Amino acid sequence: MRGIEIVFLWGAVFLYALTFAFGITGTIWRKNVIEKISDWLLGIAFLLHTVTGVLHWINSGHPPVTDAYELNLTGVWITILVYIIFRLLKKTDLVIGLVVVPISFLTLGYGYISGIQFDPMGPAFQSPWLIIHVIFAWLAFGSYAISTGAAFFKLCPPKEGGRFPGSDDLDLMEYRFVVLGFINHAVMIISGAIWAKKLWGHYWNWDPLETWSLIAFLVYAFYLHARSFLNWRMKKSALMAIAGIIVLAISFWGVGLFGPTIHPGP
Amino acid sequence: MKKSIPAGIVSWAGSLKLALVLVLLLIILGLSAVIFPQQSDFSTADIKAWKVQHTVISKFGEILGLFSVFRSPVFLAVIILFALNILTCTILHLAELKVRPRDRGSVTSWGFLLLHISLLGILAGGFITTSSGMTGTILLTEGQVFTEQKKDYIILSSGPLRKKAHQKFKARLKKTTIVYARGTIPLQVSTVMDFRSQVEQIDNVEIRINHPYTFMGMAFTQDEIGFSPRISVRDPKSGETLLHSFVALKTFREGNNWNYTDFLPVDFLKNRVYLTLFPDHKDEGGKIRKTGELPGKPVLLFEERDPGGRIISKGIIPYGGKSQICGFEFGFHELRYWTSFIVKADPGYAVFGFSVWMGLFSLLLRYSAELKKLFGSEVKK
Repeated sequence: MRGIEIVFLWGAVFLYALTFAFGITGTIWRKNVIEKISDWLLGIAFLLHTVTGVLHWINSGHPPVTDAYELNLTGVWITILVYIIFRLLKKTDLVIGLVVVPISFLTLGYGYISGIQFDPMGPAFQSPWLIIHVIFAWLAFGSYAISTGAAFFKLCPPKEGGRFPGSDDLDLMEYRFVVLGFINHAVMIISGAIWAKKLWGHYWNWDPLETWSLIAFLVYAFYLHARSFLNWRMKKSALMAIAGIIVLAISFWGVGLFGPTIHPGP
Repeated sequence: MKKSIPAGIVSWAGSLKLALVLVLLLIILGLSAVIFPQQSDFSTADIKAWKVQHTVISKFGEILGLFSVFRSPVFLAVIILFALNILTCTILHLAELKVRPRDRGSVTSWGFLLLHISLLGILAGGFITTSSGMTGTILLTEGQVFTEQKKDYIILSSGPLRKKAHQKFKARLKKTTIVYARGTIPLQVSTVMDFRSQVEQIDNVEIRINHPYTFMGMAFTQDEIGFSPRISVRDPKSGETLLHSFVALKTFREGNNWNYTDFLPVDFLKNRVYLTLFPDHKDEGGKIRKTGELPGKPVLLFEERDPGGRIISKGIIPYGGKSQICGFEFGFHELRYWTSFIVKADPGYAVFGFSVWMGLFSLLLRYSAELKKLFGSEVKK
């Protein structure tokens, strides 16, 4: 079973990479067929990814939400799910996938190299608040990733417009997904605080990871205020959205590399 | 029209520019908490060693309190300014609603207002807890009684405005139970306690990780666990017993490997004696091997070290037996678990909790229009 899980995982990573390759080819050459193939590949990759998650759940005996591998596996799954849902709702575009998909398969690969374990769930993790905390953390990341995609193409538009969304559409997309990410981010922080109170006795411990997550939240809060009250649009808001995801990425993957944290992270 | 100086100050205090400066300051402080080893995470010795290696920035860090960033005056000042910024911004928004009656009925406007009031509530709750609450750590060996007074805490910090003296109720740790998976991975850790005050008596309360218990407004959250062997030390010349008590050994974890060790904190020994416990062991031709985490056939390993840290002698103290160390007779009589608890009085809980949920609700109100557009049927051009 464990061997099969690895096969499915690499299958998903490979297909995500292929999705990106087809996506970029289809966008540059403006071929509908290639774009369709890219969409189908994403669907198949997501299916393999889902099977990987289910197999890991069966193998370890608990939801994949504890160590770095599991958090990245679940996180990327939620990120892609958010992208697929809004693609089906026609609220995002294939070009956004050119940013979301590479972020996702790189994250999945990073999760794999951080080591796969099949340990049972320790008592600290046995809390429903953990599941809520992890799901909303990645829903926030997924939403912010889409907004980053929109911000990226606002800053670096193609020379010939072609089938690219217009900058006004991208601007609106970026804003709305920051709003969605911000609400999920708030639920993530609240559920984390409730869990921390039960586990460590305090809502807030000023742990480096917690602090960086709060800083990312404040950066996005500033983004929303700047749009509403300073009328920041286009370049300024795009730069702010990209700054937000950089700070969030530090809180997800960076803080643990520098020093000890009581908070397990991806 | 030029603003008067007080109006200018108010406008600046509630401005986004100030908010941006404060966010940037928070980022810098957050970064410094990553660069400078924090007192809450590192031992004094580790921090000392770091300071020797980084003399120049250490001085700068010491002046600004960067070795304990989140308890430093600089950080406190930033948080206070943030509270002022939000308060002023809320008041200014209220004043705007007064002159723009059309916005009074708007959902997003109410969302904005309630959201900022909630943020103030969260900060107020935090302030009440920090100023009037208390947090302590206690460590109890099975059978030991805690009497909720200053001397019974190993760490204690009380808010400056806390009026209530210690409540002096009694809590007794009856039993600690650990269930392991695959021999070394803890699946469940639980303790059974009795609580007694002048008016109330509650027996056999089970406290588990993630399941704290509150008695007389004090929440008991289970923290760490370890072993307390009962050790005796006798001077063979005088026949005097110099020590006879439970000694809580520290618990260290490396992956799924557990290590229970500490030095004996007594002043009558010339050299330091380090004790390491194997809760269960096997003697393989004179070589002692640890065979499990649950108490079975326990043994204490000792190392006598000189002030330079060199090992002078080492050996074992068998369970129920005796050994000669540093010219003294050491005995190992009994083995019990110890458990540490975070004990917290949190008077700001109600304000904080209410504000958090109100904040989430008002956030949804504030952005309800955007969410409707995102999930609604409006088709992207």
